[in-house]
Amino acid sequence: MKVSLLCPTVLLAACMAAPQAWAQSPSTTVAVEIVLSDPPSSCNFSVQSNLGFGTAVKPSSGTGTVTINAVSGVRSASGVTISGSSSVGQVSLSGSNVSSYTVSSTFPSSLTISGDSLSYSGTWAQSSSTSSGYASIATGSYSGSASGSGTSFTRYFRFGGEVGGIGISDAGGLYRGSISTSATCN
Amino acid sequence: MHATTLLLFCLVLMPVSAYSQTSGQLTMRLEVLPAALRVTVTSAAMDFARQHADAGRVHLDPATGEISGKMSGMHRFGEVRLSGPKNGAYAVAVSPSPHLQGVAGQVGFQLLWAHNTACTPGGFVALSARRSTEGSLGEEGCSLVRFGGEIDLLGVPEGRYEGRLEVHIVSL
Repeated sequence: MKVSLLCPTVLLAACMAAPQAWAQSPSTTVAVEIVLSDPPSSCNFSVQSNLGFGTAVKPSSGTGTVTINAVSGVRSASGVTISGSSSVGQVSLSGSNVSSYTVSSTFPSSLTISGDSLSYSGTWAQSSSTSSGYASIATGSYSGSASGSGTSFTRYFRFGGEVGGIGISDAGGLYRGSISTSATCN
Repeated sequence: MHATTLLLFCLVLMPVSAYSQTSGQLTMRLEVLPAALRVTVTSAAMDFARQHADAGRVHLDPATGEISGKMSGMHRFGEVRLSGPKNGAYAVAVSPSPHLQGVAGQVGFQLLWAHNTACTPGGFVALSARRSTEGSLGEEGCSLVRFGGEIDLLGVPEGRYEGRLEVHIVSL
């Protein structure tokens, strides 16, 4: 019984070894690895124009507002007389090797002068063209896509808003503020 | 007999996790000016009417609205209406008092002026004899400034005499 069980096992081992015995040539395996990655993404802002509301004359009574429409760039006023030139704020975001990006903006709640302030409510819009096609952005951030590796893109953002509560008791002079914006490009 | 070498290339594509960040800042500005002061000239002519020659001193009093020594005709005061913000301040300055020039000579003129902070009839208060003054528009945001004067007709021959007084008004 013991002999008859051993024989099949030996025969099987011989069959498996047979091909190696026929080739009679050495072989080896060399593992080669290469890591390919996309070129690094990069993006930068460029400020084309700051946001300028111009000049407003305080009303004799009541309060007034000055508004710049972020989509159209047009200035308007209610309750105050405005003069001087105005400018919608505009920045461009340019990048390379970017497949997606997110832009976030933080607006102040007021424009200030020493000892006084005026309420401010910011608005912004985006477009692929510098001078037209702007669409309003309802929230504080905007996400978009680009064509990815080997390409470049530019997106334009406009900033406007409303300065309100301009009354006779407000201090005369230049009120200032700043909008912060940041982008993450992937 | 030849050797065979088996090369195994492993191409590993790594998902890119690197990203780029950037930020910027935009400035905003709005210039606010004091409320506008509106000036309306309600009477551009000051008229001493017809006086007797050699009548002596004649007063066209802007505080009372009266004129002294008039023989006939209508007398008038120069007057401007200022309006703007409540209690808005303003300054008024006048040119040196002119001589009234006529064919036969000159008549000396001394400015008298008064103001009314309510833009209602009456209530004018004489201002000092200085050539400039400051005032406010009062609770209703309105003031009247009235101009008259004093002339001395002693020894002045008959005739028509005229002059021009410049008034400068600015908001403060």
